[in-house]
Amino acid sequence: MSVKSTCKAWLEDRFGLAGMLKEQLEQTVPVHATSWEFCFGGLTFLMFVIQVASGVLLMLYYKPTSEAAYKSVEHIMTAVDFGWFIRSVHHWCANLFILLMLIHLVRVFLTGSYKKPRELHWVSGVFLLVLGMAFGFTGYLLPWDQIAYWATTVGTEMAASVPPASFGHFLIEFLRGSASVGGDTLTRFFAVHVIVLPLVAAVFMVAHFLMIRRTGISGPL
Amino acid sequence: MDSEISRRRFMDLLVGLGGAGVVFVTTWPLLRFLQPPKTTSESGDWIDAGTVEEIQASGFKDILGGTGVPLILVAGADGEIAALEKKCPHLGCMVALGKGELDCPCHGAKFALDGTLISGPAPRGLKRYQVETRANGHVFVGKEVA
Repeated sequence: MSVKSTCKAWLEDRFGLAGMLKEQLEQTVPVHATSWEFCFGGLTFLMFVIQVASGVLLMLYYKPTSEAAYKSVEHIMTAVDFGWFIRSVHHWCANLFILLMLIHLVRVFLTGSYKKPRELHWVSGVFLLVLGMAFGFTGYLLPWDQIAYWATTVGTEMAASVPPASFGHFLIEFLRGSASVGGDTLTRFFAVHVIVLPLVAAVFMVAHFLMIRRTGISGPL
Repeated sequence: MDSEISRRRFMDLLVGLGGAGVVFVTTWPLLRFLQPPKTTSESGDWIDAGTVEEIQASGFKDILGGTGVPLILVAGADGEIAALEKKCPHLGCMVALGKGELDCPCHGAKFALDGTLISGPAPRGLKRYQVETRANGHVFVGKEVA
């Protein structure tokens, strides 16, 4: 027996993954779905993977404090080798993420793929859209420049208009972590951006994918 | 023939080389990114401006300061190195090394190699930056001297 097949057999005895892998890798795609309009969901997921990878890399140099945030971004852009590249990838793929998600939504709407029994696929997808926007909103503050500061001030201001007034007041302070946008807002948004949202989004994505695997994709028009 | 290569073998080679290329162009920037930048030292915003010999040999070296300001490093007659802002305090042209002095090409202001004003329309001398020669023979430039 060759080394390769020995290793394979050893792993198979312990994990027994071969059958599962085979099933996942050999999924058939209906002929009507083998066209470019059906690619956008997968492309959105690809963007998410790129965002996780480039985001982890940016975290190696980014410092989420009001004193150091702007300087650390400047450091990434000017001093770190390929830092400009990694940050630009993160910036552009964030935009593409939302754009591709919207195109995916339009495609699902036009092909009527949201209909029974796939209503919850749609619902979980809309949750993912909202989560994607939340990713964008929290990430926008992190460079801690003027546009970030004022966009967040205006954005969180909206929460104050939720009635009754006392609840709106609670909400805005809950979002900002203080009366006005400051260092506490930055750490709060950072934690939400890099831990909370990715975990919640992962749960919704797994649900989204498991459901589509179970029902298969919708029939031809 | 010995030199004949099968179609399959050729495709395998092509895919292998292409794959190696892809791996290289993705891992090379990644490894560079993970390497902490060398331009600043642990002690703060000091910038490595190269070796003393290099500057003494050519007499000067242009670098970018920590805040992005163009600086010129000049070796004086005694070999002492000074870091000066390149911008002439008159109307902002970039000074250049002349014969034992720094000349502004626009309106003829002249500065000594330590930055002091010799003659011309400039209201004052060139801004000076901290300079430190470290054990490895490298010159480091720090903050502006007040």
